[in-house]
Amino acid sequence: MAEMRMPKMGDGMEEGTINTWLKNEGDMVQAGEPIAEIETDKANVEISAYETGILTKILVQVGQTVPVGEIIAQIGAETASSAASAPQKIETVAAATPAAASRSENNGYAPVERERVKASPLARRMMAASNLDAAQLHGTGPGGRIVERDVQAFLANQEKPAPALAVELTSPQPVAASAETVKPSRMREAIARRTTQSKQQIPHFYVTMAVEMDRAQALLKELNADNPDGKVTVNDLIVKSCAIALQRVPAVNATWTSENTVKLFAEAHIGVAVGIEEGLIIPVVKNCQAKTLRAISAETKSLIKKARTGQLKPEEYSGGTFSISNLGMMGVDEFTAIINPPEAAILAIGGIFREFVPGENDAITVRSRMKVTLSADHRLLDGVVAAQFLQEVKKTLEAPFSLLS
Amino acid sequence: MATMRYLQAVRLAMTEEMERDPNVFLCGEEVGQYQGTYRVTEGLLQKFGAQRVVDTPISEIGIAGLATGAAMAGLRPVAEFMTWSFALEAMDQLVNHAAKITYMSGGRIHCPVVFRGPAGVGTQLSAQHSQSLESWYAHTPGFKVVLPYTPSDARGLLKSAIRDDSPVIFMEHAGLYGTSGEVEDDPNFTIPFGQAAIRRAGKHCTLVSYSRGVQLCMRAADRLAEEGVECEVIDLRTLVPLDIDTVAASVSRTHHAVVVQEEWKNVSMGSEIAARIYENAFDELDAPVERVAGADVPMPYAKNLERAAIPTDIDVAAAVKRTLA
Repeated sequence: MAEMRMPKMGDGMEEGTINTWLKNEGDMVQAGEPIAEIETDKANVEISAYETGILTKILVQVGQTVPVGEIIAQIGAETASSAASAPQKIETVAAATPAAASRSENNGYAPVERERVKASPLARRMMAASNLDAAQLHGTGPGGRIVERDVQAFLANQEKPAPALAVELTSPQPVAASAETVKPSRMREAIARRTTQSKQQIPHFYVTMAVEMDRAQALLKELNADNPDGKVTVNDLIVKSCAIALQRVPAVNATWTSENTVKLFAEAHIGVAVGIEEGLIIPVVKNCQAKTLRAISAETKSLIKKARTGQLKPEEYSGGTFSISNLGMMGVDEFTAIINPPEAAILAIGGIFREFVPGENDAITVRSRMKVTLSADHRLLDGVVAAQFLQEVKKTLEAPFSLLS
Repeated sequence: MATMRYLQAVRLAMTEEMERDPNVFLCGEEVGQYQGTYRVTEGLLQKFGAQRVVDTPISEIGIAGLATGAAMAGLRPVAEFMTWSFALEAMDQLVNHAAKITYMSGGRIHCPVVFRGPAGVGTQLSAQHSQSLESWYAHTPGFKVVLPYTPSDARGLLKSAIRDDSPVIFMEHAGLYGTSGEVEDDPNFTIPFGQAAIRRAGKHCTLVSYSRGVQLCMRAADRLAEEGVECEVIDLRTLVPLDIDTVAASVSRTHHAVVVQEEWKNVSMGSEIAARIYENAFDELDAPVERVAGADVPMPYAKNLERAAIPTDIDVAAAVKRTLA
C-alpha cells in the first residue's frame, strides 16, 4: 500500500488544491502515470503515481486544499482480487437481502463506507460540544490525529474578532458600502502571504536613478531590424545589464538566511515579474551571467508565454537570486517594488520618457530617460552598495554594446 | 512524626498490631532466631516470644497452609515469604484455599491472614529470584493486593492488612527497604485500602504506578519539569481494591496517561489499569494510554542485560513525550 501525498512543487508552496482527478477509485495506475492535476499558488501541475497498483482510495476531493505532505490518495497492491471482488461483494449483498439493505438505510446504518476521521476521544467530545465538523480541522497528532490542541487552535481562530471591527473604528461610515465577499484565488492568497512576510520581515530601503536610454533604443532598432520574429526588448537589455551588475557588485546577489548568515550566490538567476489574470508570477531566467542577450531574450519570451497560460513548472519560477519588475510599458514614471524573499533586492523599472535635460553649456537637449528604483534589504546592503549597483546598471545601459558580449 | 526506613516501618506495624491484638502472630523462615533475612523482624522474637514469632521449616506450602488454617480458626497470622518468588511453592494453598475459603463456606469462615515479604526486581538476583508477580494475585478473586511505596504507607497499610478479615497479599519492595520517610506518631494510624495517593500534582500527563514504579515516575516528573512538562503522579497503593476514580479524575484533568510497572508487560497490572482508564475516561483521552514495563523475558543475571530489562525513569519520560506528541 503506497500513500500519495501532496507534493512540494516549489520553494514557497505550502498547500495545494486538487483540480481534477485523472483516475477514479479502483482504476489501475502505472508508476509515473499522471493521476491528478493540482493547483498550487503558482501554476497547475500534474502529479504522477509513485508506484504501480490500484488507486484504492481518493482522500482529497476536487476543490479541496490541503497542506504539503498530506495524504491525498492510496495506491494498493496490484492484485486481481482487490480490483474485482470488492464491487462484486456489494452486488451480492444487495441482491440477496434487499429487505435488510433498505432497513439498514432507514435506521442510519447503511453499509456505506464513511470517511474514517482520526481524532482523539477528547477532541471528538470537544468538537461535538462546539458543533464542529472534523473535516474542518487539521490534525497535528501522530498519524494526523486531531487532538486537543487542534480543536483549541481552531476555536481560538474562530473567536478572533473580524478585521472589520478595526475598519469600523477608523472610518465610521453611517451607511455601509455594498460589498461582495470573494474568496481570493490561491495565487492571491500566496501573494498576500508572501508580500506581507517580505514587508514585515525585510527592512526595505529604496534608491532611484535615471538612465538615459537613447543609445539602448538605437541598438534595439538595429538588432531587431533584421530579426522581426525574435525581437529583443528593453526588458531583455535590463536583465542582461543586471546580470553584469550582479557580477560586479556581488553583495546584491545574496540572501540573509534564517540563521542570520549571508549566503552569496555565484550565479545570477533573475526573476522577471509577469502580471497575469490571476495575479503575478515571477519566472526565473537561470544563469544569466553566462547567457547572451539573445539567449536571455528567447528564454524570457518562452517563460512569459508559459506564465500567461499557467504552464510554468515549479523549477521555472523558483530559485531566483534577484528580480526585476517592469511597469514601463504602462506609462509609470517610477515606483518601488517589494522584495521577493529570499532575494536581497528587486529593481523596479519605470517608463522611458522624452525629457528636456541640460546638455553642454546648459543647452537644452532632449533625452529618453528611464527611472529605475532598487528596493534593497538593509540587513545585507547599504545605500552605497545599492547606488554602486545602479551605477553599473546605468553604465551598461548607456553604453549598450557592452551588453552584446 | 518520626523519620524511619521502610523496613523499620514494616516492623513497627507488626509490633504495634501484636501489642494491640494477642491473636496476631508471625511465622516464616528465619523470622525468629535469625531476625529475618532483611532484618525486618529484628527483635520481635525477644519481645513477643517463640509462641508468637514462629520459625518454620523450609516449606512455603507448609507456611501458607499453617497460616491459612490458623486464620480460619480465628487467629490473625502474618506469614512471611523470604521472597515472593518462593511463594510459587505455595500457590495451591494461596489460590485454592486462602483466597476461596470465605466464598466456599458461604461466608461463614473468614481467613484474616496476611502474606508478606520482599518482592520486586533488581540487584542481580537472576531469573528465579528477581521478578514481580503481583498481577497473578490481583487476577485471583478473594485477595486484597497491597504494594506500598513509602515508609508511612508500609506501616499504615500493613496495619490495615492485619486488621482486615480477608487474605491480604502484602508485597514489600526489597529495593525500597532502605528508603527513609516520615511516619505518623499515632499508634492507631492506618491507611484504608482502595485510596490512591497523588504524589505530585501536574496538568499535562498522569503517571500511574505503585511500589518502586512510583520512584521512577517521580524522577521522570523531575526531568520533565525542567522541560516545562508537568506530570501528575498517582501511587495506587493497593491494586485490589483499585482506586480507578482517582486515576480517572486525574486523566480528566491531564487527558494523557502513562502506566508504569516493573513487572512484565504482557497480561499485567498495566494492561488492567490501561483498560480501566479506557472504560472510565475514554472521552477525556487525547492520546492512547502508554505503558512502561519490564521486558517480557526471564530476568537476566548479567548486569548490563538486567539493566536493559528493568524500566527506568528515562523510559517513563520518553513514554510521556510519546503520549504528548
